[in-house]
Amino acid sequence: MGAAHASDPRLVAPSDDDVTADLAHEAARTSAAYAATADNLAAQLADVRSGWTADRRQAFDVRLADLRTAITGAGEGRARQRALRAEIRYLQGALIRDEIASNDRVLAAPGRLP
Amino acid sequence: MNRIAAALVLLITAAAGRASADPKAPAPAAKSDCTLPAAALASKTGASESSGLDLSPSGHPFTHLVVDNPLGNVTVEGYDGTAIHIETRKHAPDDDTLERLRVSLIPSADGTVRITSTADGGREVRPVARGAVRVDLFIRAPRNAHVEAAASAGKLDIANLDAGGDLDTASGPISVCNVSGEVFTHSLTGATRLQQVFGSVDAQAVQADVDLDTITGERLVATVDRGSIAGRRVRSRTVQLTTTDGRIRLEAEVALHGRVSAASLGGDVEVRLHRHGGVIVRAQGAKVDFGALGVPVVLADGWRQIALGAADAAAMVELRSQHGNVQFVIVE
Repeated sequence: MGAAHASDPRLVAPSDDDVTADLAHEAARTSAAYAATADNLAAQLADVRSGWTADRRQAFDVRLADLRTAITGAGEGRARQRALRAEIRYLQGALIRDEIASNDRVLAAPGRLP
Repeated sequence: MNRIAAALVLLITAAAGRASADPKAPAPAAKSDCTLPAAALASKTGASESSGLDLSPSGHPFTHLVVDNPLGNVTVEGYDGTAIHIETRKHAPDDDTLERLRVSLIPSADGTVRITSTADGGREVRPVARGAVRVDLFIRAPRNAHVEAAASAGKLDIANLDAGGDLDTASGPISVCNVSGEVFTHSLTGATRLQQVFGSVDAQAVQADVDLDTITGERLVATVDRGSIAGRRVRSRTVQLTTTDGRIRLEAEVALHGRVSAASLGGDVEVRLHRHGGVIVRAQGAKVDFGALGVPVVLADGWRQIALGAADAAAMVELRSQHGNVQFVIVE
């Protein structure tokens, strides 16, 4: 995943390429911005995670691995962006709401209201 | 694409100026104050083209409108009719580049209509930066059509629709007004504004504000990474608002058995609640302020709790901010 954060305008702003080439790169650029946001949240969670019980750590790791498998398996474009948004929601839930396991209130399913 | 759809592919290439005087264009809906502005006039420099097209259903009514316009704005307004009217405004630095801009319209037998814009490439074309070209789409669609629309840096506006929508932008703002049915919005850096939504809402933004006004569906879920969430006149039974860095301000009416949850890592959380029965409020924050409601009970897990009214069917309110302040007010 990309290292830059979504606040970097280059991630979402059109390039100086010809319009056709720029459009061809748009999906990957958007996915990179979502991925950078997920990376940033995961980095913030690293310290928090170390304070969890082993069970919670395991539940978190399993769920996160599932979400990342879905991202890898999704085709570039809206499917991958949807999967990345699910990861972002899950990480936000874990970081802010302390929701780790799947039977916690579910935030990690954009497109399916809990 | 099935054979029927393939056979119906149309390219909108009408001559300049045609749409502005199209007498067949359906009148705008008059249901609410959500009438959207007409497409902007083209720039005086460069080359421009306007076109209008009416598409009437043949058999199956239009029930699903899918729009993907990475080159400009998308405006979809519902009306009490069966046809779809599409007004297209293209702009480019010169005529040759204007010719490269395409809008395709693909109706399918199942009632779906797909509208897509693109820019033709090729070795012979003179390179033109994306910012130098523009395609804006203004669409009037049957009110009961579900709208799925995507834009990039352009605005995405929908209004006066009864079957919900799914809206996606990168940096362009999203605006939803007077829409029934489930509404989903996703944006990286485009501000999101939803008003008069009579259905469940799921709004997600990365680095942008989300503004909610008059939301009455069963559920409201909104998450923002860097940006604020502001809600007014929210009457959803279940409300869940989350920000990583950004303030949450909510004025809501909570029903019996309702659930309101607002949580932020670094932003302040401020909730003003109209209640119709018992309410149990739990809060956690750098500073927790219940105002004149009394002194909260401090629970073993550090949460502060206050109970108002009868416990039967009480609504649950949970507010938290790890680094920000939490304020809760009852509006009588």
